[in-house]
Amino acid sequence: MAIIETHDLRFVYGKGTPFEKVALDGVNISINEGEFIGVIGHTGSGKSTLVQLLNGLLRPESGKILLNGNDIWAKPKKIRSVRFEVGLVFQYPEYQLFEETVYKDIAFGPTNKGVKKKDELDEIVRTAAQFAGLKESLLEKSPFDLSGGEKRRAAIAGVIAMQPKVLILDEPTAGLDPKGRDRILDRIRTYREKTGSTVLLVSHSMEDIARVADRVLVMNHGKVEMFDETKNIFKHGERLAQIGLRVPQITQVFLEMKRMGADVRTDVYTMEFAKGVALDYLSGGEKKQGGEAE
Amino acid sequence: MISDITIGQFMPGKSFIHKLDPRMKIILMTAVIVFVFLAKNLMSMGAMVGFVILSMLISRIPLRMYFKGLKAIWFLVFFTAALNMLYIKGEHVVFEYKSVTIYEEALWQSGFIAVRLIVIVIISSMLTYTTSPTDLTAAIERLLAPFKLFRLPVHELAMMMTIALRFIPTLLEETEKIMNAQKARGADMESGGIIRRAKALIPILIPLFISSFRRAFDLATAMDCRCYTGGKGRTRLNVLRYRFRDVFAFLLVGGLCYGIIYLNSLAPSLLVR
Repeated sequence: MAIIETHDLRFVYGKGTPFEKVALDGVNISINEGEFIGVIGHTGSGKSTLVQLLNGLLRPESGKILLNGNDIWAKPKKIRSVRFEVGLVFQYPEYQLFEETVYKDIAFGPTNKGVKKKDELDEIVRTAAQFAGLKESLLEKSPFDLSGGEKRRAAIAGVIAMQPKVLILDEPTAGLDPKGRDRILDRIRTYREKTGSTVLLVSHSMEDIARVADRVLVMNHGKVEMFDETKNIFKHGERLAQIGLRVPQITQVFLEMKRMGADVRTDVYTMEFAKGVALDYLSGGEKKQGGEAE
Repeated sequence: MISDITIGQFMPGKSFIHKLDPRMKIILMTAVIVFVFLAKNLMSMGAMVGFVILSMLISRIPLRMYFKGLKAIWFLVFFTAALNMLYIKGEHVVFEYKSVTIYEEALWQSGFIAVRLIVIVIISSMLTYTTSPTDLTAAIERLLAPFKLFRLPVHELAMMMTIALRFIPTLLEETEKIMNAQKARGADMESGGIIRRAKALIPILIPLFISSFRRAFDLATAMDCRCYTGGKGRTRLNVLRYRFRDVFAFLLVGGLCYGIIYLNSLAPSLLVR
């Protein structure tokens, strides 16, 4: 069942000024409950606008957004409740930390949601911290004493703590070192598996998307370019390059091998899978690789 | 929206007023503001208002921009005018109802006060609309230069002003971002009483403060890296120079000032005292 649907979504920045710019036009997508969606697109393609529309921070110029089949703007005064259902982690979320302790900062969202009982709140905060991979000992520290990666995870915990049905993350790994980035991706994956929530991950990193997403939404100039299963998306390497994106590096390697005359399959987009394919090829067992992609 | 704020907004253009030397603009603007207070009868005030309208047209700034600037002070204008109207006593009664008596003198007085306030706002927004912030601070630095004798750190003051102006749009953008992030966490900024609303500002102000400090440190480092050591021995890329049009504008405003004093002497003052 579709948890989020959009119908002919259109959004314009600076309506009625000389700086008017159409950010989104004719966006029709449908996202099923429990799916892991990757969102990619070049800078200014409308990714960030789309995610802000989905949780009601921006109001569409025309078109509809359905959450569980209900138009989220049916009652504009109730829009705040949509934000608890669709949790949005902004780019560089560490800049939104403000409380004295990490614990209080994580509790900000659930308190706004109306969680009053102390033990219930405590449970929620600790679970969220655990999902984000924050040690218990960090909870009583000031958020400003944490390292960059820890701050980022504390901010993500602050959104997870609202227990949203849909979690949207806008470039959660931007500016982190490889270790910090793997850690966050792993955490998000575990969170999805354990809670069964729907997750949307906006990223510029094809490698990240290839690793975690079931389906990929490709945005281009405010329109949906492709929306398909991950393996199908990366078959369109040329088209992706045309719109300023690319396939994962590992896929590029295999495409190049193919071009040089090696008989290998080219729908390879994760390291683990690539290893198998490469070994098969090296052992001369080209015939054996006829199997399905993982 | 928050980005509608127009404080110190500069609107590039090529009009006569845009091209004037910023120092001359500041001096002439001060003169006009002083003389709007000296205009005492209809003739001199008329000359002043005519001059202001003429310069508004010459500046080629859309008139609605001036009205936008006035929006903020309508209440003040109305309030001071109303108070003056009620409290000033004179000889000729125009209106009487129960304990409220309005005299002719009071009407003139409040009209003049309203016009003065409006002229001040129009003239000062004309200055910011037609002068880029860099020109403005350069001019202030030059005009304050004599105070260096009294050890006033003129250059530093001007630099602080430049930086402050430079960061207004950045901070506005940042505020909007943080507001959105907190709204996404369910912060409620639109409802509740005054105390709740003030409390709702905390999650915005603290991150804003912290990022401002971070920006300040970064900027200081960047300035250090470019060997900035303060005003001593520093030269300018664009040296301000008075030109013929500045002399012309000076004579024009000088003429206006003389005219106001002359016209004041032709008819009795309409103001009390």
